[in-house]
Amino acid sequence: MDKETTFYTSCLCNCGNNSQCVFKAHIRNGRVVRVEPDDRYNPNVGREDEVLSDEDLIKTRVQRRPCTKGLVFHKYISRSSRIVYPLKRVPGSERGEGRYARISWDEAFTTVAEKLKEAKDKYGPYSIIVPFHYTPDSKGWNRIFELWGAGVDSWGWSSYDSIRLMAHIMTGVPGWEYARYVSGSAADMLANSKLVVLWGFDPTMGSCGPGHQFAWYLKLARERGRKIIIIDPRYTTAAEVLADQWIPIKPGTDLAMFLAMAYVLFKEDLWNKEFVRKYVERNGFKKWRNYILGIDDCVAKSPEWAEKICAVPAETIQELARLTATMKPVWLWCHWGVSRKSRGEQTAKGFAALQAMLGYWGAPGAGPPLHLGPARDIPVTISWGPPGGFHVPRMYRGHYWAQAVLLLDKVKKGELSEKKYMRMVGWRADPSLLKEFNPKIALLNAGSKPHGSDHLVTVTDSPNDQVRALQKMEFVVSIHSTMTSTAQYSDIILPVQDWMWEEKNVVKSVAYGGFECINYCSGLVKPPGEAKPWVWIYVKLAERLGINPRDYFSYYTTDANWNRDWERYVRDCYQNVMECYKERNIQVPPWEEFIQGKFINCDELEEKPFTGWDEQVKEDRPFKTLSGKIEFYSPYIAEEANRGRGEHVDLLGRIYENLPSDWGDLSPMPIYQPTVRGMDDPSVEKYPLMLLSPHPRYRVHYLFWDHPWLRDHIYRHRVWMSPIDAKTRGVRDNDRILVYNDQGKVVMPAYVTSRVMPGIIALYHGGKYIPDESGIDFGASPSTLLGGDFESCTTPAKATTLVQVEKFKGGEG
Amino acid sequence: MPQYGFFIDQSRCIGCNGCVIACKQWHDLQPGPVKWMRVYQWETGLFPNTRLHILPIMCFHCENPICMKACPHEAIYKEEKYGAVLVNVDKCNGTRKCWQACPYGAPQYGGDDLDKKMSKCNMCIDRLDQGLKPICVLSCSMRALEFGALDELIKRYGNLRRLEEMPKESITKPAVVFKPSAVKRSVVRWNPKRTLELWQKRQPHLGEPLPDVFGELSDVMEAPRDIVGRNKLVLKAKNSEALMYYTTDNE
Repeated sequence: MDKETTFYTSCLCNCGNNSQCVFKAHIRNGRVVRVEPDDRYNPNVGREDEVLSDEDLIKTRVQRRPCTKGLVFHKYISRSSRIVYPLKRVPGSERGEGRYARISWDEAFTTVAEKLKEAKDKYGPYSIIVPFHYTPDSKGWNRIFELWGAGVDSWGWSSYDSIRLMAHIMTGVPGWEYARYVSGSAADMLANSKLVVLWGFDPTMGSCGPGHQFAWYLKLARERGRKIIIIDPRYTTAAEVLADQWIPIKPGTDLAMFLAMAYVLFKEDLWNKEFVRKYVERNGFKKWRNYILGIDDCVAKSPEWAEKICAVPAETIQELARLTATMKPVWLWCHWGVSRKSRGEQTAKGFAALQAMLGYWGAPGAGPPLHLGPARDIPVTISWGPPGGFHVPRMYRGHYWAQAVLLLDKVKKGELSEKKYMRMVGWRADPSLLKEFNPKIALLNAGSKPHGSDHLVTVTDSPNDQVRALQKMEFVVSIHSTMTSTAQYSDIILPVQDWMWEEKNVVKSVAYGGFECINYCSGLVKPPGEAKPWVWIYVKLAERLGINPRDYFSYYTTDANWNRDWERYVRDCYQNVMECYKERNIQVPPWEEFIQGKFINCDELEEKPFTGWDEQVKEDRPFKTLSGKIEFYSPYIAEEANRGRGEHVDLLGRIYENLPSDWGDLSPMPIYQPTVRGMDDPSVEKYPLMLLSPHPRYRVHYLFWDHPWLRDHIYRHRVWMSPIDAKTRGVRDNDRILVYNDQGKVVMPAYVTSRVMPGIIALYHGGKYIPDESGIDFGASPSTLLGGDFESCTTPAKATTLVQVEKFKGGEG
Repeated sequence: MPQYGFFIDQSRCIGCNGCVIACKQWHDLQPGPVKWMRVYQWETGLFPNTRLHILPIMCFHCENPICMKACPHEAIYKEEKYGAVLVNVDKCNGTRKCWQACPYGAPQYGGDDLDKKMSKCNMCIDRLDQGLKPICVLSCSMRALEFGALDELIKRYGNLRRLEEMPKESITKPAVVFKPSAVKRSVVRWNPKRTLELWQKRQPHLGEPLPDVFGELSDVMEAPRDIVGRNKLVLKAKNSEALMYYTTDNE
């Protein structure tokens, strides 16, 4: 038996903070036997903060301790649902039955390539679709399409479309680039803030810092006397552990509260006039002021007006507004969930406008105006070669892909106008292309996160609709590592190797909340069966389609040399990082030390914690809008002639990635409109409970649903329900309940708790779609209840909807 | 005899189960009811006084280990270097006398059949011998745990030896020190009754009223307690299913 050896590697479970957490893995015979948390700082110390200076905390010289997901990721590699050979659907079986036969890679590639060529010839270049896929750079299927000259992609990014759109509209900076400017580091909060107010933010669940690091920093701030307020419809774990005070708010109404806070600032003359004069465009600011004071519509957006909508009492709003303006700086944070509702773009914009009125853009200790994830401009992935010549249209919004397929028939039959269709599916391409859109082949799970997605439970369209759309396809291909709900609807499945344990990579954390670092994944675990690297799979597919594989991936030489080619690429990625730092005269570890676990702590190499926008705000460098300032009012949206143009572009000719051709009722400035399928929607007559689908603590979308170390071991997938709503329906804790609306039905036991306010239920996002013959989803994925909202502009009601609940009287399912 | 023990900061614990999972994978325990480390969650109070209680516990390696005295087979012993209470599996015959004696539910079994042998937290004695602290302590994202000589922990963190509804420490003298959860402080004025009045009413739609969110204010503030499932600390669950019920998270 081989001796046990150890190596450092970082977690890539796609929870939002990729590669932030670090393990010391113990390996024997090519298998991970157990892991220890990071010990590269402060080894063998439990209460780390007791041995750290303030500077250590600010420079994040702290361990990157993982959460449970990472701690047993190594157990997940050998899961029973892992796909380890190329598979084809057994002839005669139905899609969804899940009956597959092993085939060779050669047969798999030949079949896929023939089908793709046939569709291109027979149905044209716009017959091959990637239902939901967005990467800003040229990788995966998108790159094949560019080089091959056919294919359709989608647009939209479920995490924060509304915020990205508003970032672009308010500042003239596209969302991805904007991420470089935002503030949001826990270190800045700890170092500089005087009071902390969090809307819909529970960092004890994940996605902010390694493991629950952001929560730890908030706790340290509180222990040092900082007061913390959490505003959330649920009494979250954060509300218990981190907050001094919890204030419940009706979900989907946060903007009303922001507007009323702005009202108080105007009325009591507490707004930062100097900041507004210098950095906010004047005309739009006046329009907004008039709206808030009710000068045009005779409705003052006062705390008394807002309390009836959001249920936060007027005096509370008033006091909070005064505090935020006087206790400078106050760390205000409006988390993604708040804007992941219909009309969430206005919520995001309203918050950013409030932050501008307070002069908090770019101010240390003040929190981000529009929270994405700060990421310093140090690219760890580099080009695979020049992009191909074919412009791949992003036709529909990914969240509506099934509707884009299903409603097309109605357009062809003349039952639905082209204009209405385009509005409904979030069309973003040249309208003339609609005539040529003819979806016949669906390519699933494309891209650089091979285990990252399961469309049926991750995107908006209800799984029931998505299954209908998949059944209309002539051919469906999945590239995946797990037999997910979606993979079972494929004709061919290509097995991809694990991204974290089985592949070498230089990885940079997506620094939602700071703690940014660059780590190495050493890929020391041998992939099972015939699972292959995702890039290799695309290289071979490209080759079969007649593309020179070196045009697809410039490092490729031969199959026999694959490992060496890939290592050369990974080394060049690190070389690129080294050069970035060299330009700034900063020394980083040489490659040989880096791969032994000597990582780059990006926070440590900077003079001060990330605060963002300081370039624009401190050096008077203008924003990239027409006025050069922050625009509360968008002249582009105000101009009706722009509507319906296909791709919209900004002043510098860059596409507004998150703006569909027709933006519906999106207002040029943040005004309050009731949430579609929110608590004040007329359909409460039929479906009186608002469903929230927050991100879970122990899963990433679908990922880990089938992990026996997590579900029903340390957590239960349950429906949160208040005692009064349970009592009315004769439900007690742990009773199985049926949750339903027009989109679908799910069954799961209830968690009856006073931690959720009346009129609301919560069911954690993702999971698995497990329908019985009548269509009841016994996996109880909230996605089954979502979808079908065509009224909202860029943010459909994708995380919320209205439902009814009753005690379930049926059998096991 | 030296006595080592744990410090548990309840005010920091977020119930994430990191310690539980770190422990289980380190000691190669399979998924299921054998939880050497457990995190209990329960709630008390109705709106607006709801509190969530979270308590991570391991074996406290008591100075007066009554489990040891209860075992008719002398399978349990107190190790001398760290004061760890350990079990000799060869001698255990699964009669569960230790379980009956321990007020904390520390002894663990792989199921409800009486042939299962006992196992429990061993203070990571394998790690201690290498100069490393227990894996749970080093895994806590919130840095809520510490390990050390009991007298030093008491010097540093005080002498609180039990929390809330836990049994009296005089029974077994557990080698543990606690910090209780933090007290809530009001930052801005907030009237819960007014909040409920507002919460009850929906905004009219096109001038037409919509149904109320709930019937009476008193229904929310005085709902019967037994509708809420986990409304108290149950350290000693009656069987494996109950143990899983009390020690699984709802997040």
